[in-house]
Amino acid sequence: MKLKTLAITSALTSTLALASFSSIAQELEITVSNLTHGVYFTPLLVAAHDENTFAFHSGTEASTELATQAEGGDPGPLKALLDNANANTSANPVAAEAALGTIDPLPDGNPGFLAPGASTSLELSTSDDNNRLSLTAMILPTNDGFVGLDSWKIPTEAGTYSININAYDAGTEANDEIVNGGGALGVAGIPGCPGGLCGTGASGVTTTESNTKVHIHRNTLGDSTTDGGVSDLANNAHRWLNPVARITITVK
Amino acid sequence: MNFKTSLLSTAVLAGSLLVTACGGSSSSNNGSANNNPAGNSDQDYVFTIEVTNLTYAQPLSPPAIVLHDSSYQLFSEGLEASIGLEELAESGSNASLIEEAQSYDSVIQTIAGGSIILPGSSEEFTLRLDADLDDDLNGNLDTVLAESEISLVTMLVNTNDAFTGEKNIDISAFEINQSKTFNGPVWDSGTEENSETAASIPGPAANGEGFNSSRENDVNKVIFHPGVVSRDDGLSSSVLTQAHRFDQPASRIRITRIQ
Repeated sequence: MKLKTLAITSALTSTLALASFSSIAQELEITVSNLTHGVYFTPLLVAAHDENTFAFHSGTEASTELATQAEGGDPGPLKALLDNANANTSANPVAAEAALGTIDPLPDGNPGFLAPGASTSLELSTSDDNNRLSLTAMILPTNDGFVGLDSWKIPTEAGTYSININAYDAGTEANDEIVNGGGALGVAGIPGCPGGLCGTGASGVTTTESNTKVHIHRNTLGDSTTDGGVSDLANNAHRWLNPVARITITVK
Repeated sequence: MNFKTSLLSTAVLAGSLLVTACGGSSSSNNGSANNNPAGNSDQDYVFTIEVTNLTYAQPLSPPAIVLHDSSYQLFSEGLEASIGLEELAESGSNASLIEEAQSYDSVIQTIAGGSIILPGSSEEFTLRLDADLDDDLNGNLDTVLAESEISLVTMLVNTNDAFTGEKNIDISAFEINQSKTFNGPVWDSGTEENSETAASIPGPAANGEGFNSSRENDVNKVIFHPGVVSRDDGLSSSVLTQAHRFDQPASRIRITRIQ
């Protein structure tokens, strides 16, 4: 008798819980700041998605789509993957702002790159149940480093929230630190060096990648020579410490 | 008032969950836990603790997990490390730290991890607050839970005395199936000079010495770790390579209340 009453209460509680926790569409204003000294973010991908969808998880292998972005900077395939899972996505806000004239394009002709110390803003309308926020962008110059936010729970309460995020290694390419234009998936090397402080002729830091899961980037090594050495990167320009980016989200 | 209501609905939900999930999720626990008899009571509170190694090439030693009230501090930044923490941070052995923790009245339960967690891998531990524990403490299990915190530490084994984890995680207000994730920073126990020599690194990079009770040539207080230099970055006496470098955080700790 008593048990039965409890069971009914329980059923009611679950229904109520479900009703009150299911999320509704939201309007977000998002600002992303590059907090590093001397590395750039390639075109950003920002996505609101449901609990079962993700752009990456540390400790698991990167998808081909994420590897494509982390090794070469192209957010397109990962955007398509997330769009296909009914995510709300926004790619390359820097280029959009440059076109509008609200942000200065980089002098060396990379309008989609977020420079060290720079910020960019975008608006995102989320659909029902897309209550998780993720962000990815390649860090240049690196082999397969990326700045990432994985499934941050979007608050239901209106307000402004600020979070610091870290640099990851996709685990899909050896960190040889040779700038050779190699940005295609599976091709060794670093595709480019925005900012222009890289050297040439490096012999390579390593040829192996022993941790094939997404992990925290151990940082670039670099060296102090622009001609030869083990790395084409500069050890006084291209290193960072976490966090590498700050995201400010205003829930309207 | 509010508190009482939420506890009540929690108990109801727990009951229904048990019925539907009977024989469903079985959790693995490679470590050995004390105070963890097999008795399954509706009143039990059960948590899983997942530890993920986020480094490139720093295996994590078997973790030491301590359930305690808020008066227990596994360590404090700026203060000396205990002998137990020194031994864990220098050698990777959790035995002394676990023994040390169990000697405190403020410690409710401990779990000693049994295996290394490799870079990119995870291990899940199960923590159960059960009715037997209730008897031990001569108190109400809900009262125990209301004061419960978790601290967890594990060594980065290719270092002199670096460790990661998290301390004083409040688990009193978890709803069933609720998870919280924490990023584990890297601390330096301050008990061994960061010489990075082959003789002093116990991990697979060198298989050198583990615990040494001397604290000479180090600051003798727990601080954030400055990172390793490595021979590839100019420290010629270092046995470490560029691969052993790391940045914060080195671990992810995900705590879920499952019952």
